[in-house]
Amino acid sequence: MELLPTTVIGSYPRPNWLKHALSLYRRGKIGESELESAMDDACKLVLKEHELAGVDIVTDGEMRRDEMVEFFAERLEGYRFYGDVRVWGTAHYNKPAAIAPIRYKAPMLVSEFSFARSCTSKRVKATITGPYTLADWSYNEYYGSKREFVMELAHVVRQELRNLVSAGADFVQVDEPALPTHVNEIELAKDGFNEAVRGVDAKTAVHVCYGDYSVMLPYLNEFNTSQFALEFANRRFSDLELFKQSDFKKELGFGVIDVHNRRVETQEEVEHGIKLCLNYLEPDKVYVNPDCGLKLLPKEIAFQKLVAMVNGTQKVRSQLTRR
Amino acid sequence: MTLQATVLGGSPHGVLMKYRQMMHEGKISEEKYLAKLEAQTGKFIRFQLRLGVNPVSDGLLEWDDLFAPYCRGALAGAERGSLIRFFDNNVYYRRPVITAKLRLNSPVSSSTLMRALNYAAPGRFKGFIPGPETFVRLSEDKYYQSADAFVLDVAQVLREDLSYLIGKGVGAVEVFDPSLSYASSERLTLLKPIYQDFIRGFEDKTWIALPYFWPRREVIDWLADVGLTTVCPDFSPTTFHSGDNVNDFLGTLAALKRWLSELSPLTRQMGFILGLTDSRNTLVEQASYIRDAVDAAVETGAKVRGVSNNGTLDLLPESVAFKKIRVLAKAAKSWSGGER
Repeated sequence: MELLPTTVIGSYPRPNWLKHALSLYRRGKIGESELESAMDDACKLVLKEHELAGVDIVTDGEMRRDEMVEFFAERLEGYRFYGDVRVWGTAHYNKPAAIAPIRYKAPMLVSEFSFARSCTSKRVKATITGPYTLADWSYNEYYGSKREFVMELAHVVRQELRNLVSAGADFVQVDEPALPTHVNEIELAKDGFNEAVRGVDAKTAVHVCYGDYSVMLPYLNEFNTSQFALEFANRRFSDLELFKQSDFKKELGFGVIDVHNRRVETQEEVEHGIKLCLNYLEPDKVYVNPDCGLKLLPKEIAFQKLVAMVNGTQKVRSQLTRR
Repeated sequence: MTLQATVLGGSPHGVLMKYRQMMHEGKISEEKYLAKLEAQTGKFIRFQLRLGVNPVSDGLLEWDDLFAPYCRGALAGAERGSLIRFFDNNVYYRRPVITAKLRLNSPVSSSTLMRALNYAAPGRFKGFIPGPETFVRLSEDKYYQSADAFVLDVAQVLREDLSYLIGKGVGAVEVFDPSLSYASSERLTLLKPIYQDFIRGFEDKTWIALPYFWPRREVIDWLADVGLTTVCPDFSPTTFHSGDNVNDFLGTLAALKRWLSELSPLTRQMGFILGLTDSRNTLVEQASYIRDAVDAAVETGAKVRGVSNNGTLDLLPESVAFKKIRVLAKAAKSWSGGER
């Protein structure tokens, strides 16, 4: 693989026609097979857009998932939904509440991963929400302690990861954006993650965004993962020196695209960000990605941002090769 | 003795989120959005009035986050910055970026108040502003370069808002100030004269809300020393157990009783609005639990003025938030009526 592999965090904007199909399905105007067919088409489209942009490691844009916690909670036993909760601006999700023991029912991601893999020759990254974030972004009406809740979810995630690996996944990203939320629970998040990946034979990454990195840095080397994929463009590439100071030993998935801003970054801005990163980390330890999922952007803008990301990365790559 | 039930912070934005999104996408006009905002504000205020909630809140339905109304033009010198997590909640805010000397162009609450007064008399309405320390702690300062000068100016501009609301005759103004909970002793010493000036003349109508942190005795003593007469501490299980055993009501009640039994002579004179219903978990409290907590508090000699949620209800689904308001109102009414 080339230096500075480019990838995405996972989600991508749904095409308007898929939103329309979902709306028809919810109103009973089309059946499940028609919706499924539309989902398949949307996945192919996203994979093609990732390829056209030149992204090295692709995803299907999580077309089949409305939201990263809701999707899993809907497929597990023990959750209940009360309605939408705002996260910021007009972004919201149907935040689940654990009301009984959480139990695994059936594979949740295997078919979507297998389908994506059959549609592209690129390496496909599987993405899954991590146990700590699943717990922290749910209400808890059942468990007597957060540890009990997180570890139960770790077993669920582990079962799904093993199924994904059996289906051929060799790179899995576990999304843990809640990781830096509670300073006193980072150890718990780490224990949950390590339990989830125990015995899982694949490369893993942990994705985190929009938090205070200084509180989690002392723990990162203890996560049984090879990579952390983090948001940096939103924070204007600050905090990099903290990684150097903390003797960070993992690969860094470096966020160079602000997913909550419609302005498309220039190739030069991406190049500048990566060069700042390389002041602190060796090039063979760096992957390049957007800050987070791109789903909240208009599709055309998301695509242009990926193109800028790839072009900026290629520029740095060629400079490194010439050295 | 009469016990008030009141609502702290904002309410879930409900259907308004979809209208705002449609307006941003150009699918509906701003006029149509504002009509919906007006209707939803009215609905929320009427709901509280029917239950006997006093004072009522407008639900902060147009506030994207704690600072958005200030950073969208009302406050010269403040811009909207990067997206950051709001304390330890799964909610985010745009960090204010201070680029010039702060100056209030117009009171942030004027449009809110105009709308609210269509449904409630001014004395029945509770205004809302962020606290100076929270504003400073959660902002990025690129202008002042001196923490003292920065907080002084923030307190002055927020006082203008506070003064506007009180001048219009509102029943109370909630100052949402969680960051005070972790201010160091040295910081509190520095802040004392600034907060005294901030609330001067308005001591009786200014409530300081301290959500997301179990009350720190030093801070409550400090507030009493500053001259504040009403404080709204967070006595929820989520906060007591730092998000761990979030359904432990009995343990929380015992902790509340212990905490209030050790009030200093000065804080014993303060009024407490007890933040009892948990805005961070969906399990709905029993009215009997609220009444038991009030009984326990009164037994300690604390001056209990009312009961409320512990922080902004915007962290809950609308249906659950409304249930929690109903429970608060029911508990306050039955407690006041002598049901123990």
